[in-house]
Amino acid sequence: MKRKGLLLCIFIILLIFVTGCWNRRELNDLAIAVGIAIDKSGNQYKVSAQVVEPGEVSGKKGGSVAPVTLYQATGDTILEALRQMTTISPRKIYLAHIRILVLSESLAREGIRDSLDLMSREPETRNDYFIVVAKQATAEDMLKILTNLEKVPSIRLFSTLETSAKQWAPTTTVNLDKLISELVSEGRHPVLTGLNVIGDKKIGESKKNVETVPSPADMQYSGLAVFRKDKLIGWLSDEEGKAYNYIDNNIKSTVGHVNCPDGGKLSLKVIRSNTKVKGSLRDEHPRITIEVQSEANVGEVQCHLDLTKTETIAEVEKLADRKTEEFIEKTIKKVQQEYKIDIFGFGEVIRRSYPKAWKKLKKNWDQTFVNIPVNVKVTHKIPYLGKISNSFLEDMKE
Amino acid sequence: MFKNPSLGNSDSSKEPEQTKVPLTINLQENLQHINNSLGNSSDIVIREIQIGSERQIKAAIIFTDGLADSKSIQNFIMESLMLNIANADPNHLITSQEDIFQVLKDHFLTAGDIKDVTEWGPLLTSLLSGDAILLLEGYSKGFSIGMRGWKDRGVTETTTETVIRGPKEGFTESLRTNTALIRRKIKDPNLWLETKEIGRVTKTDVAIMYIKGIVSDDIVKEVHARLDRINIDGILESGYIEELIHDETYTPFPTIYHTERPDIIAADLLEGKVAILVDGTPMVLVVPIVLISFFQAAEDYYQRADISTLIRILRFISVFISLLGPALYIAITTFHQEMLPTQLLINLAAQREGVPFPAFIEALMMEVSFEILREASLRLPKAIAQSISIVGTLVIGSAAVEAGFISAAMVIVVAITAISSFVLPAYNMAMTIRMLRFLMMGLAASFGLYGIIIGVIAIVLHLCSLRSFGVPYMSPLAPFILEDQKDTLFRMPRWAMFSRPRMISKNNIIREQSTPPEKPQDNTGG
Amino acid sequence: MPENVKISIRQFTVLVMLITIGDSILVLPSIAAFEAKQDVWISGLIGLAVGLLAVYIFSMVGKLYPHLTLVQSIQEIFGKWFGTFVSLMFLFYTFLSVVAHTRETGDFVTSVMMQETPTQAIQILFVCIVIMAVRLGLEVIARTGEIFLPWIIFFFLILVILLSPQAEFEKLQPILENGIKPVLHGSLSCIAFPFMELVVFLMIFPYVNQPQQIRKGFLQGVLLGGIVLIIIITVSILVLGPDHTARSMYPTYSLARRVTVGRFFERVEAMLALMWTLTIFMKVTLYFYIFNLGLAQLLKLKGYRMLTLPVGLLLIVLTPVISPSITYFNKVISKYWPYFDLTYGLLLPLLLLAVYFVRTKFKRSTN
Repeated sequence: MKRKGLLLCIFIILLIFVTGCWNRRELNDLAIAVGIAIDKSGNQYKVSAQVVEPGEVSGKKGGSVAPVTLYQATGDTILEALRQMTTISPRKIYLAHIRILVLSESLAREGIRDSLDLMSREPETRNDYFIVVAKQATAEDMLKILTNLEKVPSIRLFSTLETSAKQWAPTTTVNLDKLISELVSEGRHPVLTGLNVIGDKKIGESKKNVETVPSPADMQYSGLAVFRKDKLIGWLSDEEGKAYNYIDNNIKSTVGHVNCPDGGKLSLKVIRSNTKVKGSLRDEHPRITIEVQSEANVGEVQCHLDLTKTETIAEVEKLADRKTEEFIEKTIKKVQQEYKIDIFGFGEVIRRSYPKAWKKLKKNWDQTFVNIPVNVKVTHKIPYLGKISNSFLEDMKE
Repeated sequence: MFKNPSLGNSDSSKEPEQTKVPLTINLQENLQHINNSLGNSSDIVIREIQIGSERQIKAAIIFTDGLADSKSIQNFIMESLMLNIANADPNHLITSQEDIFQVLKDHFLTAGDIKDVTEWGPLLTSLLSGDAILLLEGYSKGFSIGMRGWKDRGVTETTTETVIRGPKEGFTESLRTNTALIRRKIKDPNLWLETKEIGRVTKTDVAIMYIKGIVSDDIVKEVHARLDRINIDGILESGYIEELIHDETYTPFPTIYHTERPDIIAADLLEGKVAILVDGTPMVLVVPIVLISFFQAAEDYYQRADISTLIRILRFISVFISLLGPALYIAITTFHQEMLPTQLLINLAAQREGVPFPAFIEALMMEVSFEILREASLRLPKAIAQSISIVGTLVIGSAAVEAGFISAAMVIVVAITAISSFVLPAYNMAMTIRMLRFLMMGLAASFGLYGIIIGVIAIVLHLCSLRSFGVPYMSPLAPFILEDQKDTLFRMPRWAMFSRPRMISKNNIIREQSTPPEKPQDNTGG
Repeated sequence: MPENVKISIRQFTVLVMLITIGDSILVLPSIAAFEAKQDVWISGLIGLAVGLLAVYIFSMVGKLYPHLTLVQSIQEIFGKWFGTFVSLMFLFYTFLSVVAHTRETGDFVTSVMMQETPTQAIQILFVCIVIMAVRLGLEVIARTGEIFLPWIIFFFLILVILLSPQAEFEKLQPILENGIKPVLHGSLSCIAFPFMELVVFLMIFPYVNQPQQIRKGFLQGVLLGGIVLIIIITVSILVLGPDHTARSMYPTYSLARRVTVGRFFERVEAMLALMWTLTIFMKVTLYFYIFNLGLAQLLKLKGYRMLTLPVGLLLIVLTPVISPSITYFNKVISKYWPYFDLTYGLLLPLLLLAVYFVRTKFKRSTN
């Protein structure tokens, strides 16, 4: 009896095994998409997927074929377009390894929210890719350029954005989670980094692009796209982007320069920076205080300064403070006057500190934001001078 | 289904008659009986002699050539009986007939182990065990004189369980040598040894060894009961016993430990376990056993605690790899590609370009061919085995990759799995892991990680339900015993291992009361 | 039919802890955060406090008849006919729990790990090992729990530690933005799912080898399990933010997807899937065991083991029946199930206590 039961169990389990493998996809059945570009064509979406040719990317062999290929399809919804690609592609497009999602500027001006639902709903996708806007160009163009150093262009776009956000800070890395939470937040509007192609696009699409030094075409991040809710309304320049990152406490490290009192320039490497945005309420009128504490090293000296004196250092620190304050204030002014929307999250700050007052303020927060007084206070600290103290310029007699 | 009781009774029923039959008074008749019983076997030597000079008594010495030490028989039996008696003043000794047995025993037979035999059964058994038999005319009894001395493999280094540090000697095929090896390590009067004879035809000596006072009496009783239940024609290796007394047949996991190292047995006896020694094999069984024991090598206790702990953790990791390595590879590359980092995925995909088989079939092929190689090199002479394994691993592996049958990553996975499976000190447990590996691969191929999780849960459930001689197999992990954790995943310093495993030695827990070594005073003044 | 098994108080505590964590670790943050937003950790604390109180009541009920299981003591207290009815209702509740949790397992695995695999296959495999575990008995279930608990704790700690750099404490502010009401609403699910469902432990009180320590062990287990839940809820809010937590179907899974250490240690959600499968396996197994045991006791059968296979089949058939879609299921779970839990987790024990004391008083006064 017991043995019969055991046999039956084994039999049933075997049955499950035999009919199993519903989900099985061998690695060579996958078209690994690393980048997705979404354009609008009429009422439809034109979706381009950059798919890796694994054999070309890894190992020593390969070289004759481009490392990636681009599949394009048009459909009423993004998912339809993606599935329509199977009429061209021999394999199913696999979305889990997307590194970058490029939205065209025209799509962004019309609104991006419909494009995002699929990306957040599809269980296959992850949220660790970056979203960027193609500046004054179609999104598909961004995935057509072949690149050097990193064979897969989308992976290169990913690491370029990450590196520039870390080292220079005019760009910002936005992934889906962050974008969505800023979209739904009442006290904040999102921004996305812009991307454009420099050089000759036509050559960029062919293998020739990576055969010459320098590459005839390349992709470059520039500026931040400002969104009102999900619609693009304008751009911030690189320096304004840096100011945005200062306010958002996103600075990992960056470089800035100050003008020396007697002409010439001195650049500072910011190695650590911390920003505190505080809100206060005076007679129901909110005001914002931004406190930035930066630690910077002297990076480059092109003027006559005696850096061995503590007074000089203090002076440089003051100069740097004022300089940073200025461009942060300028950026805030610009956003307040030109775009009239709160991309800095000041509304969130007020909501956190004054939830009761926020309930009244939130209805027309953007109007309030335009006139909100902002007080910026930056303090620099310069602990190190680099490998040398005074510049050798000091001793060079002309 | 597999048992046929009607078959078993037929030959066991006639044996008791043979054993109970007494000897006769007539020497010739007795010798005839021996010849008849053994079918005139040519290795039975019968030497008829006359004892004494005045009153001569007919006698016969019978022994098995090759089993008994013929030189000792000459020196201690023949010489004593034929020469010494004649030279001594025998008259007053051999006058009374009643006493002649006692007289021979007391004064002439210069051998250590002498037993009286009166029945045919014991007589034949001891004759065939290598004792010399002395029969006298006119007596219906004889002597069985311990003259065992056969060609024996000496105590040599173990081949299956080697250590870097620690004693090198291993058990031999002789039961007596083996008990001596243990006694030499434990010189306590409480080290008790009980011997049974198991096997209706082979009459194999089986010894049970334990330390009275440390061992739990229930376990000893249980061991006796289970051994007494055995009714089999022959025991040729301790594996027979193992299969007949273990708790659960339908399990891939061994519930009895075996080893050929005396130091392991000594350590186990000190923990309160029972050793079962079987004549004719160097493999000694130990009961009861827990799963963790298969992860503990003898050397763990000879190296310092930190080294041993690290090595033990390494062992757990390699068992994990050995069990789940290919399964995880299959699950991740065919179901959960999103879990791989992008660059790794691209690399793996590049390798798989053009491979015609699904990953599961690929893995199965590689695993099976590896198992074939392993088995082949195991049975071959050592010199050939090495070249076979080189051909197998290097040539076939790289050729398969070059030909595009197999992806290089799969070769790596299978190779690391294979190496890991050799890390476990216990070979039988390593086999278990190998068997389960295929099950896990199947589950992974049809259900991905979910299948693996379900498989692991099923294995853990099964492990938790096992017992070895009443001791839960997963103790001291489940049921969790805090004190015993000192020698489970970690091996604590010696002074911290103050108690015996709680589940095994129930009544005598305290093992030592050493204190941690004190730091010497620094007298250098510096 | 005395089940001749005993589990130690430590095993009991471990079981309580595992069942408390149960499926809540995956879905509770979402359900609770839907109402309470960023204050959901307060809901968690309230839930734990009420939960401890509830457990205290359970142990009081358990002390009325320390040698009887809940089904038996219900009959003892309520009398034969009404008692049988209440017992049946209680068993129906446990069975429905088993079905719902099995359904949940299938839904989770199919929606996040294997989209194209039929959920039936997932559930059949799951029910197979549940039946296996239940047939092996309570002792083995308890031991398995002891083996799994360190793993669960280990993975949990790894998850929390790896996520800690991403925590943003601003996300907890403002505290009590919309007053205390939504927090209380949120705490309802925090009370019901992890803690009220522990009422089933009344069925295994008689099998604990040190009955006098049950209360202590029970409270300890609940406290530890509750702390784990509160930590995971708080981490969800800190890392994902209240909106995302409420919107995700499985916030903890999204949480695990967030883990990145360097570039090499990422995409570790399998760890969470493992952890969750283990806890829900323990929960379903214990409930299934209790259902079979209770049914066998109610029907006065010799043993419960013969019930496991038919009940298992019933279970597999029922899982698709209880709800047509995930939306319906989620709605039932978040809107109505807490009250279902409260009925059996709070009302039943209180009623038992009340009737018991009235009866004893009545008896004493008549004497």
